[in-house]
Amino acid sequence: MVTRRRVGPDVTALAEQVAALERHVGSVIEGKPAIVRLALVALLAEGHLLLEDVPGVGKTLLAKAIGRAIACSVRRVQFTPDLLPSDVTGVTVYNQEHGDFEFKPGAVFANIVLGDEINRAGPKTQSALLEAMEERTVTVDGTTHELAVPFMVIATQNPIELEGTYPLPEAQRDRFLMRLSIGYPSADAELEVLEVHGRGDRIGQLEPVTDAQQVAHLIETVKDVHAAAALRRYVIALVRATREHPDVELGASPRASLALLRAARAEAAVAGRDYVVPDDVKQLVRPVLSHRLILTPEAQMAERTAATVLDDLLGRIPIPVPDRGGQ
Amino acid sequence: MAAPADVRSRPPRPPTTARAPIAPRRRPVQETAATPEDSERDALLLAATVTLLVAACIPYVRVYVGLDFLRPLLASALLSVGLAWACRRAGAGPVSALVVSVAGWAILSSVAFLPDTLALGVLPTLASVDAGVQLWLRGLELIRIRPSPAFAEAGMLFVTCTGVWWVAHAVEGLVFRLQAPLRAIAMAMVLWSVPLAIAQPGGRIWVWAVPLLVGAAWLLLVAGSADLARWGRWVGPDGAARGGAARGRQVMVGTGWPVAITAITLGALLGGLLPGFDDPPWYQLRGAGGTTITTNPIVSIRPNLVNQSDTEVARVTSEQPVYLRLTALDLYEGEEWTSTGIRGGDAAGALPLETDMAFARQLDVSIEARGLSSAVILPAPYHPIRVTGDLGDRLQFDRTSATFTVDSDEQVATGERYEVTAAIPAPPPERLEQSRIDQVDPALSALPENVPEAVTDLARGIVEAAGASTPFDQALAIQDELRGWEYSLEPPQGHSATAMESFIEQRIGYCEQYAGTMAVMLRSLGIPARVAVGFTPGQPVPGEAGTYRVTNANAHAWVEVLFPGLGWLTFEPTPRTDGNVLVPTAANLAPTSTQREASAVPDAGGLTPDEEQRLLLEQMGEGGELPAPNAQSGEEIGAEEGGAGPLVPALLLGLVALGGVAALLASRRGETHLVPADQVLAAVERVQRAGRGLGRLRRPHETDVEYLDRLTGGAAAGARLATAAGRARYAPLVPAAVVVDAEHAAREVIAALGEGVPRHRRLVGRIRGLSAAARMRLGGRLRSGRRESESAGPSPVERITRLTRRRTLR
Repeated sequence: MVTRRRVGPDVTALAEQVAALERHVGSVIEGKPAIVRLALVALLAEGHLLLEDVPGVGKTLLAKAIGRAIACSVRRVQFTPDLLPSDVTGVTVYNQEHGDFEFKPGAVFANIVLGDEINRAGPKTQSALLEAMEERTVTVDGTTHELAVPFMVIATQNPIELEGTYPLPEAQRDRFLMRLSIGYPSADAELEVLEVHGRGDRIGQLEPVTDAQQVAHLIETVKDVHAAAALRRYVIALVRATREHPDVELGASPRASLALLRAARAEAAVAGRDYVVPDDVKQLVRPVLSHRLILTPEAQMAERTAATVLDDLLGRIPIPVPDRGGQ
Repeated sequence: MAAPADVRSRPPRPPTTARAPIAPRRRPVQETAATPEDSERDALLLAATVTLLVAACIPYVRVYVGLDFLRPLLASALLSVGLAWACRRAGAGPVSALVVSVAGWAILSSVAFLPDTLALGVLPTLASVDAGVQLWLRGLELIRIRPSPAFAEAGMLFVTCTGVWWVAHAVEGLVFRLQAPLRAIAMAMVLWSVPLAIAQPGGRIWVWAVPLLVGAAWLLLVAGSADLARWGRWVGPDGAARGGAARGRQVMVGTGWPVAITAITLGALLGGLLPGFDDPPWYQLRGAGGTTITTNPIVSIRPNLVNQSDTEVARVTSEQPVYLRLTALDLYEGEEWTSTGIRGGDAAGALPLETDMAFARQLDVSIEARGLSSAVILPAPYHPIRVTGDLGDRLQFDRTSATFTVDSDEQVATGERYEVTAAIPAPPPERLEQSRIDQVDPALSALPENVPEAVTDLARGIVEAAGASTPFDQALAIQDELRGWEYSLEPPQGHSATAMESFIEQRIGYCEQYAGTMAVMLRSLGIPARVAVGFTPGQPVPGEAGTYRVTNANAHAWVEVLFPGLGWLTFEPTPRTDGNVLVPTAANLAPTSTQREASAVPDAGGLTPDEEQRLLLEQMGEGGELPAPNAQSGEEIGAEEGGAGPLVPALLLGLVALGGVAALLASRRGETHLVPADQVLAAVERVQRAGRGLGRLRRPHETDVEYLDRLTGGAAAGARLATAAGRARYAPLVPAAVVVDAEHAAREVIAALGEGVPRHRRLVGRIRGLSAAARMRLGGRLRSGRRESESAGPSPVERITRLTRRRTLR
């Protein structure tokens, strides 16, 4: 008889590695440990990150720091209104030397792709990137090219009210695992920024603590983190509740449930646990769900936001008790 | 973020224990026994459960005669457990298991008890239901009227087997589904204690307790094997921790002890205010002095009669063998012969003759009490006309039944003597014919309407066949006919309608059936008759001429027929195999030698008289007192008699106390037998209860981390407990070590909560916590029910449609 006793994922090692990553990235991004952590969680959950904030708070710096801390390929695409889809995905060109066509990979062929100001590009280019994000492959002229593993897009965008932007349609925002706002640093952190940035290239001095292969391994580890049935019910209850909420016009999709659970697994692993607890889910509800909700005009006029809706839900949906019912 | 930080520094994972080694509800079949150890443990647990149940069935030996009852009883227990086990292995839920069990029970009981009503040999039909209900009602009635030990009659056995079946089902469920072996043991103890409670007092309870304790211990050991940390804790780190953390005791964990102490205090202080306190008991085991004994008198003498067949009851000195009569049973209402009541009265005043001395033989009988110390009714030859001796003044006499009683407050010491002068009616046959039996009280020949026709027909048939016309001839004819039947202790006893029918059909039985049936037959012919109970003459003491040793083995029942002016004449229908009987014949109405002496035939039967004796007494009694085991000598009985009375209540009290302790343990320490996850959650529950007591309820949307953080103000112990709770609830495996940590943390949290709260507030808080717990549990159930039934809400398409519509409107 085969022993079916479950051997849990080795989350202890994972937690240590992630802690080292956090320290590294944190040494560059002062005063934002929570954001760094969430970004790493998104990485381990195989998700993409949408950083939405005003210019100058360190969005690009965060992406670059993560790329540096992991020894992996990092490509940066500055999205502009005239950026073409082929710039992103790659293009087949005729090589006169060899006398045949050859594929010149675009910007997405890297482990970490930094899409700066994604909402400045036209919808066509945006969707070229977003499809690559979803499929993790790129098809150019009938040939399918696999993207690297890990593959993470960190897109930044300015708040949509700013001029010259094409807001991401809701269907496309859905493809980002999380949307984060870095926010202004505290006074102390800002002071620190001033001091440190005076002295050369901090990013350039950052030594990698791990590499792409290890990160790929960590991602596999995260997939083994146990999510109890009760917990999955909790995720579903939360996501479904967004669809019923009076302030919400369009709630979160089933893809959102998947994303939330995946992120929760990563969060649990980062915390050194091989099982997910409701707190993991709760912490991730805002970053994972808020960009997927469309509020009713009334709610918007009343200055309610997705965050207030989600807070309301978190305060109402009961934590499910596991079936075996200890109490 | 507190929880993650803690977890990271946890020690290397200790050997883990599967959280639910026994298949929980709805677990897929192939995972039921995930590992060899699990299936091995499952088998061990099953064996322990069966042992426990068998041990609980064993004491029924004390309430049933023979061992035949064991087969259906054990079959019920084993089949019930087996079915439930099979259901569980097949992945059935508790409800399906219950349904299967009901079906199994219906089939088993129909096959065992109602085979005639089955279709295809196994399938119960509507007729089975009908017959089953009848049998059930009959069983309940039998339980009420049959003193123990009784023959395993179908009705009683049906009720018992049903009880065993469902107790077994419940025990299996408690052990395997709820994983609550302690509760299962309490359940089995119910089964176990019933026979001991209704059986006669006395005996060594440990004989019956040891198997049960072994079963229980085994069950606990096997069930507890998954959480050795918990068992070891009692002698391990917990003791040390407790010594160090004195403040941990400031708030008592759990509520069992305060409740118990309050109950005991209230009982001790206020018990006296209850109505009936200090009143005489409802039922006097030894009868009330000088007053009426309304229930079956046999009950009051049984303790020293049934104890031991060879126990000497009295030593009798008499010129001739003589029946020592206790009393007469003169009331037949379709079930049993019973007494209309014995009224004590001054013996001297009550004794004047009702016998015509001209036709009586006077006999002086000296009786020396041997095993009568707790007796209320004293044996005497019929018809007594004078009583003297040590006891003479203390005796009271009921004239109707010719019964001597002694005040129940008085002991009849071994060696005390009384002399009775009896006038044994011995009229010549022609005198008998003059006796006008039609002038006697009709109550003496009264019969209920449900006397089976077969009995009256038989009586008429016998009388006609014998050509008997006078009451005397008729009685003699019936006696002689019955004496030709077979004597046996095996057939079902009783004189109830059905029992009597089967008796006359099979023509096999023992004294009580013979006497009871003959008396009914006589009454059906209009002859005033009653059943006398007492002792046959006993064995002559070698070397002492005229001295007889009367033991319990001599207990007997016979028939008396009233001939006005002459008194009650004795008839002997029972073909007793020991031949120690006086059989009247037409020529000799008052024989002076026993049948055995007359025929000089040594003991012929293969049946011991002791058994007969015991059966008789069981049969005749009505109460629920239980015979002591048969292993005591006369001396021991004498010595123990004083203590026997208080021993029973003490025993019962002990049982109740044991049950109370078990319940306390189950409520407070119930977690002991739980798997680690449940132990952790129980610790959390204790904290929550304490929190509720302080009015800080857990909100349904709060996670363990959030709640404990709020409750403890961010204390480290709270975070530790929260981590453990999360693991217990959501992790696939829970190491036993987590339990220890969780319990320490819980104690710390509770102690911290209790700090600064006045003692009385804490008590109030605890009560509030309890009631809040009940409310929340109920509410939670309602809520979860609602959640299940919630509809899916609008479909995505509907949402989109609604969305676009709204946009269009805009």
